Amino acid sequence: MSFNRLILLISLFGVGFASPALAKFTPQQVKAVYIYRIASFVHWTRDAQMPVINICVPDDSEIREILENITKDKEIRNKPILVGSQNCDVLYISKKESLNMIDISQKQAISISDIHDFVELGGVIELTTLGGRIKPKVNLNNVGEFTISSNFLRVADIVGGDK
Amino acid sequence: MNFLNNMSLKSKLILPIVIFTGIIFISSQGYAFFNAFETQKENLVNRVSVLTKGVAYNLQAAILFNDSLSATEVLDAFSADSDVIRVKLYTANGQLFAMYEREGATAPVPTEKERIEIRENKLSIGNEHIFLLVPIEIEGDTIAQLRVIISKDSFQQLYNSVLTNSSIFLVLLIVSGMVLYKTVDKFIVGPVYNLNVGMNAFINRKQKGGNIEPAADDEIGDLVRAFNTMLDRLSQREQQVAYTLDKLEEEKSFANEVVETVKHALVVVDEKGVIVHFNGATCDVFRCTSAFLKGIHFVDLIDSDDVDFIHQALAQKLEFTDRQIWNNDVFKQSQLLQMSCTKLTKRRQILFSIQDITEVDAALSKQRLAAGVFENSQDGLMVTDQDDVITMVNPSVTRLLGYSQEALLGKKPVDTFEWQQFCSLMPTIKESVTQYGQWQGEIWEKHLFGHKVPMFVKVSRINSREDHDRCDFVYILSDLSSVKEMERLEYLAHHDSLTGLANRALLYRVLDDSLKDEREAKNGLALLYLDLDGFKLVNDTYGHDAGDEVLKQVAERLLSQVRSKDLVARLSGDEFVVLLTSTDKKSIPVLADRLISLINQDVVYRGRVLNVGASIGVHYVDKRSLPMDELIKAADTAMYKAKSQGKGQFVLSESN
Repeated sequence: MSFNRLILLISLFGVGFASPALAKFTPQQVKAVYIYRIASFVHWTRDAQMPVINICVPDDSEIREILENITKDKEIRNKPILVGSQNCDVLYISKKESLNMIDISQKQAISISDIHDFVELGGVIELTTLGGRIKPKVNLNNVGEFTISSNFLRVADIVGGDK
Repeated sequence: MNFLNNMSLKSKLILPIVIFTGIIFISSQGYAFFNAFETQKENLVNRVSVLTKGVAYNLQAAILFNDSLSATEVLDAFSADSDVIRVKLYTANGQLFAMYEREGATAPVPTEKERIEIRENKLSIGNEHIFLLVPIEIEGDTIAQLRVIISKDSFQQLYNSVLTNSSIFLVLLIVSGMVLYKTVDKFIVGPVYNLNVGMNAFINRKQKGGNIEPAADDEIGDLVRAFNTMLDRLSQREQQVAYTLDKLEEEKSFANEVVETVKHALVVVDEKGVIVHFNGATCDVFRCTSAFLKGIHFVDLIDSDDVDFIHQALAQKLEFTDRQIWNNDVFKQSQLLQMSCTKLTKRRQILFSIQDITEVDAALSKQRLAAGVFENSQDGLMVTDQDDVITMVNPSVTRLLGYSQEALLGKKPVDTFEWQQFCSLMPTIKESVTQYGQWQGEIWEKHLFGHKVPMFVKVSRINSREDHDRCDFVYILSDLSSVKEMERLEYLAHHDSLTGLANRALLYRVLDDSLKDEREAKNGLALLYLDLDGFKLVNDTYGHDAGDEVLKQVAERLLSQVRSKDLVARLSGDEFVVLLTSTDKKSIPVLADRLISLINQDVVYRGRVLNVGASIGVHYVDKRSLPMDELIKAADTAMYKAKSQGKGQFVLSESN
């Protein structure tokens, strides 16, 4: 997958993954872009002290590789994005085996996964696929030292919290 | 700007007010409207933009997660703004993702121009709508676009408020303009108009001494007062000018009349001698028309040998007075002109004054001659006026009567002369002079030294030329002293001193004349030679005195018997001759007898009776061819024959 195509993918957001134009993107590519975009809706408590935003993808090298490509030279709120495995601010896991990573990252990292019922398993955001479309689901009870933009919450299914 | 000059003051004041007020009104209202419009537009756009940006932000997630339902919900936020008609959300690839449309509103389709404008400026303002394009970005990437259509209905309100404001402002402007106009009209234009009317009236002479009432105590009031003062002064000046003009006109007409009436020719010439002006008398003096005189040289008028002094006067500006010159006029008739030349102060002109004194000169000559005659006349000439006062006497009167001129002039003859004979004759003289114009006769008047002077006096009346009632009397006194003396000597030479009869000399002259008198040629002529008889006896007896008395008596008796044209002469002693110049032969004996008998009558002398007789010789001639001597001799011979026949007889001889 070429970098240019990924750029195109990013730029053609919102079209919806069901649209024929995006059909040619792989689910991994789409998820990688989703991860990157969700990061922009998250405000960390210690946001001001954060020099970078670390995105950790411990168990999916393919997505990690895509992320590394698409986040190269990208910044969120003037913070460069690093794809690594230390001090995670955003944690994406794709396997149940990696659920323990949520605890490791304490309350600092916002956890994202496409694992079914991820929000029930302590995860914050679950990328569910509904009718060919990816729809995020958020469990506000699992939100740690960060807040999620209401803007994002509007398009997500909310569970938990005071809602 | 020329048109401004022709406008009335009112227009000039009002027009700028209207124009500037209009400009201020339009610009202020325009600016206010523009400002309000811009502000409104900006506000609207900003408001909608802010709203849109807020919405856009809220749309980010919906777009990212392709949730058009959420997007539509988010777009519903636009319902908060009533001006937003429709919002369309397009994704980056141009797909309509969500849409908001206000209920009951219809959104227009932007024109091509508006599309371009929207593309370039992200904003286009149409007539009724505003088109706004707001991109939705995330971290610098544009993920979608919101196309917003905003209604400009709110502008209507703006228009209305602007219109209301403008109307109020306009009304205020009009009111203040009216107030300004009225103020200007009352305090400036009105007074100025009145002043103008007053001035025009004064210029057109409609107004007579009427002043304008000053409107206020301001500069225009001062101007009006100054104008009134000016009117007063002008009026005074006008009166002065009129008075001066009248006087001037009077003097001018007087001068003109004098110039035209005067008998002198007055000619003004310029420095070259060309005639510039002349009066009417000039034509008369030079006997030419005024057309002829115009523009000719003055010297051309003078035809005389002596014109050098005129040239000199012209060239050297020399004045002269009463210069006389003989000139030939245009008809080549000689005339005597008297000229004077005076320099005029004006423009180096010269005035010539010319008088034709030909007649005057002739009259003067005549007068001089008359005076000469009067002075040198041998006859005494005396003139008295109507009141008998002596006005003129000549030296001959002094010579004749001894009185000096001073003693006579201004006095009446009655008071000066003794007027012995004159006084008695005066009534006759006056009557004759009054009736027939003259009187003449011999008068004896007493000389200053006492002796009497015989004079032949002729008195004539001279009527005064001007006044017919007045007249002068001229006395011409001819000295008869010498004439009387001559007459006496003549008498003595031709008459017998004793008897007063003609003597021999006179007899001879008269006889000679008679013989030559052809008028009497057809009549006969008789010479009676008479000698007294007995005279010697009387003389010797009674003395010479008695003889002389007899001779005187005889002479008277002879004279009593002849006609005046006949002559009685005493030749010597007792010889007498009677010359009958015209007679006939038969009347002679009668006459001779009568003479004899007459002489025979007694002569009484000192109580004594004296007697003498007479012998007469008569020679009668029919034709007067006989010489005088022979005639006398024949008569003498006849007398002697009579004496020899016995005295007291007459003898008639005859010759053919």
